Amino acid sequence: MSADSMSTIFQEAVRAAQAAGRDFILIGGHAVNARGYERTTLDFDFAIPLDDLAAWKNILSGLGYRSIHETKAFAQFEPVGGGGFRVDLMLVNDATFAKLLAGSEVRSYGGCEICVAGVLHLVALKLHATRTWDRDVQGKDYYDILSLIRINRIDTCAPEFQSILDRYATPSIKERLLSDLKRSV
Amino acid sequence: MPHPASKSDSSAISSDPFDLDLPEIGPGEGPLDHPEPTFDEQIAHAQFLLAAAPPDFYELRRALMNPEPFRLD
Repeated sequence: MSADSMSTIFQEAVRAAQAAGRDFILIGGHAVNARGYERTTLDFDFAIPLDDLAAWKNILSGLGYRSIHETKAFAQFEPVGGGGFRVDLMLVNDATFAKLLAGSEVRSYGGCEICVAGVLHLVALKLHATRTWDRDVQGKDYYDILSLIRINRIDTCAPEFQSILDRYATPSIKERLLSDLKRSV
Repeated sequence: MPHPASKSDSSAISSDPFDLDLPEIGPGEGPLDHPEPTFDEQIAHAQFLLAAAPPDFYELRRALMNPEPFRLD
C-alpha cells in the first residue's frame, strides 16, 4: 500500500463516476481532511443517491472492487485481492442528497475536483453517527466534530448550528461539545 | 436489492437544509469497522495528503494542531 496507490484508487473512482454522469459527495474522513483537520483514514466515503447504487457497483467492479457489506444505508467495497483501500457508500434518498449537494463545495482534493460535503453537513453526519450506531465517540468522531467547528470557525451561536445540535446530538455529546468549545484552543 | 434509506422521507417536504433524512441504524446495520492502520498505511495516508491536499489545507491545518494525528474512523 502506498500514497501512489491511494491517489490512483481515488482518482480512478472519482473520474469513472464523473464520466458516468453520477453526482456524489465526499464525506467521512477524507472530507474531514479536505476541511482542514488531518487524521488518518483508509477508506473513501461518498454519499450517493440510493438509486445510483447499481451504477456504482458497475463502476467499482470495473475498477477491480467487490462488495463486502451492504445494508439499507451503506455499501462497502474492497479490492478483489483484498487489502488496499476500501470505498464506502452512504445511500440517501433524493431529497436528502439534494440538500447535501446544495451545501457542498467543489474543491481540489486528491488530484481531483470533487464535491466535498459542507462543513455543517459534515458535523450533522458525524453527530448522527455518534447517536445512531455503536461508534466509540471518544476515539472516532468526537475530535472530528470539535476540530471541524474550530478550524472552520463555525459560529456556534448561529441558529442553524444550534438547530443541528438539537437535531443530531445526544444530550451528553451536546453538553461536552459546548463545554469544550468554551475553552481556549 | 437496495432498501430505502429510511422509513420516512421528511426531508422531501422540509425546506430546512439541515433536516436530513438520515437512516436510523440498528445493530449490525452500520458499516463495517476498519482494522487499526499499520504504520505503512499511516505513512501512505500522510503522503497522500502532502501530495494532494487542497490549496488552503496547510493554512487550515496550522489553525489547530491535531492532538492525535493518527486516528482511524
